[in-house]
Amino acid sequence: MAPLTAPKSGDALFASVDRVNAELFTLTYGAIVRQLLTDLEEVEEVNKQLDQMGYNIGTRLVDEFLAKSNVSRCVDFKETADVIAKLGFKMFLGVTATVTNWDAEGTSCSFVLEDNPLVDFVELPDTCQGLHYCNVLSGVIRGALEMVSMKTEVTWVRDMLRGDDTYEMRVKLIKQVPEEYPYKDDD
Amino acid sequence: MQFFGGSSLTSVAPEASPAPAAPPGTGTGANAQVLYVFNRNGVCLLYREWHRPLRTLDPAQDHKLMFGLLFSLRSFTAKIDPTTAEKGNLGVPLLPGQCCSFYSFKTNTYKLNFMESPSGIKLILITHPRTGDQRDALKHIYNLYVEYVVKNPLYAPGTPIK
Amino acid sequence: MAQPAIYSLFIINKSGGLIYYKDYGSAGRMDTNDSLRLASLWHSMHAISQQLSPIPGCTGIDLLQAHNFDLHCFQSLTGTKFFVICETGAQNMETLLKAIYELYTDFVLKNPFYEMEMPIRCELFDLNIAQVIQKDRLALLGR
Repeated sequence: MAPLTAPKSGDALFASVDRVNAELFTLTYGAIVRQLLTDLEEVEEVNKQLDQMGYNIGTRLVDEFLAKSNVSRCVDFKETADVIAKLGFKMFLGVTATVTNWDAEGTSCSFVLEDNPLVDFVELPDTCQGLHYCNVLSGVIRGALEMVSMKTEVTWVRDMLRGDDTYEMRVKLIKQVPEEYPYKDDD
Repeated sequence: MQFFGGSSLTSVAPEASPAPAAPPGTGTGANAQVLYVFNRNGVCLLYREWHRPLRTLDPAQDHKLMFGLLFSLRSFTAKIDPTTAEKGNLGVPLLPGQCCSFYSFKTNTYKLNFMESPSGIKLILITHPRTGDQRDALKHIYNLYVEYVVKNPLYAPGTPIK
Repeated sequence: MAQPAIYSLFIINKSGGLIYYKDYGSAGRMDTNDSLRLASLWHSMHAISQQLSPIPGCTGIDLLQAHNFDLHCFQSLTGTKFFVICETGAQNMETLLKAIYELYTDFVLKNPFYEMEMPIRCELFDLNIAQVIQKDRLALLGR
């Protein structure tokens, strides 16, 4: 059966969703991070919580993405990475990422973000040097991919808030976990 | 639609099975053509494939799984029927012809056409997903079965058809 | 009374558990136990239909045709299945299922108080689904 509609382009997708004021988004996220720091005090704990929040968001976000973008199943991990960079990031953050640094087996790559709306106007104080401010993003990717049967590990390689020149996330595919086939014996 | 091209109902000896030519209109590649015939006890009386690119399981498991699926689908269809209120419990054995039955299902790669006779003989024809209604073709096959198999005095019911 | 175009809607989570069942006026309305068992049965049969495919790349049953009804099924890439029982020959069910999927991503997944994979108890979802189904029914009556 032919697909009902062809997959949309990144720009078309971004144009078709409701938008929110960017400042409000940045401020809200900042408030969450501040609150977590106050409640938990340990920077490592905050990193973990941000990742967990991202994971919970990712597991729900993926269906939204699939429903609105009409993409069909990706053939391999390379295609998955491209779809996330060009369509996923565009649809939800309004920016596209570039995919680089593929390893030899094609199971590990980097997403590089020049522009990151989460961190507008943010400067990390000395007391928070271990903080991965954007850790929610790594959680979102991990959660979303897990819902389409891919177990991954996502880590931050470069972080502008920590003095690097750009944002770089490393995504490593650990394994594909296909759904188990239940066998129904009726005789 | 003629499925067994090249055989006529009058001129074949009882022991020889009609030589089925490939069904007309089948292309290559995405087409599959497979026929299963089961009796009411799940014995596969006949299995023919004209085109089957993928065999996931060995024949015995494949037949068992196919029969099991059809059995479950019949229970499911009878129970989920929205036009009648009184239905038995799920899993209660159904008589052929009792309750609403399905006659085909479709996936993106194949279409399964199904027919069950009152005697419990189940005919399954696997075709290309866009094939039309095959109920008449299945009736035709059933008639052939009756002519050549049932009426063959040398055929022992319940054994695979040679 | 006009035949409803859609008799019922089922939504099954990725493990085969029934998370939503609504009957829109069929004689065959079921109690919870029966609907749960049928959903679970559909989940396994859908998987088995993929195993039996004679051609690689099968994504499972999308249409089941019976004498009294048709069943259209849509499975998202996340494994959630949406299926409707409708009158035989009903058209445009795939579009309807897509619309239902979108409503699910909006009113269920974006509801922070909804727990993933659990039965759906979101009033707004019920309302919007009913509207979509009603629209479909009216379109059919206008034939």
